[in-house]
Amino acid sequence: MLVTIVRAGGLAAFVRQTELDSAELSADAAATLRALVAALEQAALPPSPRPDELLYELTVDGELIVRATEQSLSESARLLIGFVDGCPERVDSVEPL
Amino acid sequence: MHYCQIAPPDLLARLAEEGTPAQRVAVLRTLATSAAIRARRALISELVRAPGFDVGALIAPVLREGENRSVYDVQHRGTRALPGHLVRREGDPPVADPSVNEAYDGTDRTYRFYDKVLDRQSVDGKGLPLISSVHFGVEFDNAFWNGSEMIYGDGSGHVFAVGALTKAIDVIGHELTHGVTQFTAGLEYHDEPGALNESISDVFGSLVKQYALRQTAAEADWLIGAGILAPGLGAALRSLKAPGTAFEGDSQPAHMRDYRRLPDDDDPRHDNGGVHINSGIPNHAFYLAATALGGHAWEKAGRIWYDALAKRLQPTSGFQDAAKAMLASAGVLFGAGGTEEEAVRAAWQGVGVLT
Repeated sequence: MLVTIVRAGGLAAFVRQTELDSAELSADAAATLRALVAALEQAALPPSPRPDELLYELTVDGELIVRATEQSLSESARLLIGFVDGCPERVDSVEPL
Repeated sequence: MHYCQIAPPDLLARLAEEGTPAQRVAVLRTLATSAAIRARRALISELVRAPGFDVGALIAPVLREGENRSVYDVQHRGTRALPGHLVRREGDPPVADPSVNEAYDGTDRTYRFYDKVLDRQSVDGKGLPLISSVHFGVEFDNAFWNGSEMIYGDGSGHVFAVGALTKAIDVIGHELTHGVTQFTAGLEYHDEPGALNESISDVFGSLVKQYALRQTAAEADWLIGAGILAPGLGAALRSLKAPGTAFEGDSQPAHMRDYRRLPDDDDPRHDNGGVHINSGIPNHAFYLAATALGGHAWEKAGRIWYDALAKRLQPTSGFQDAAKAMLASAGVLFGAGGTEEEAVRAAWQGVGVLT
């Protein structure tokens, strides 16, 4: 399972992409990742963005699951992002708009 | 006392945030008669975040006179923990945490700039207390005005250098100016109005820094966020003097012929129709006007831009509307047909907005 997080917008407006492949994880961590993905809610349409808010996109195995603004990001998505950020196996890249 | 007479603070906070307007008024009344001032402060902070509230009117009776700034520590928690723990109030001495002191000082510089130069008291013009919350989230790569207070992350080292988000006073000025725009022109945050909104924040963010350093237009670096990007990414976020040169890969245009059309959709890569890209065009117009007029940029160009923002621009205003508004402001402030009006016209011609 490949989880991809895109974070863009914000003050800097750079595009940061973070990928985590469950194949790189221990069995326990991979199971946690799957559970967090299973718990993801389909996002409602994001409200109109506030200036310099971060904008988020979550895809799983190439399928778009969530697009949200800082204010509309669900708790389940925040938990998944926090987990991915905590895994040293993740791969980050940052590019300008 | 009966249990039902005690309104649990959490419930009040939830009503303040999520309740109907009638519920919010009831919450306010409860707060006004509450003897527990500390609880009241925390709840007021919740109220401040509720949309559609006259926050200034709500807060005025509870805060001491002249109490304009307070800095809170969110202790790496998220939105629900805002504003966090109060660590420094107006008049308190510096604390051990540099993020707290930087947020406090940058807010002060911004407040002073608007007060002394533009006779505007705080972001709403009515002395709205300025709340800052530092250490938001975990390795959070952003600082923003959330509609009622300032939020600062610590940076991840991927986009922003760790600890850098409170260091640049032009960035603090930029973010608080989003608050000023919210209370004045209300520019929509997409396409041309959004790029104009971004540009207004860059212009006044840069002026806050220039005013703090007492620099002339010729002396200023005209950069936004110099030195705060993660190592290797680049020198600054944006340049008003030379849009497109602030970092490797900076694609900001300085002229309408290079306007970048991006979709206004929910794809994070499209930046609400390129608001942080196309802001280069009005940014450079300001730089051209300010350097043509010379001296301190806040004395003439800054006043013209502010007059247009406060009195003439509308939520849907685009670049042409802005150029016309600023011409009108220059004429009213400094005389029709004067050198100021001509400098403004030449500036907007220079970026291809006026012909």
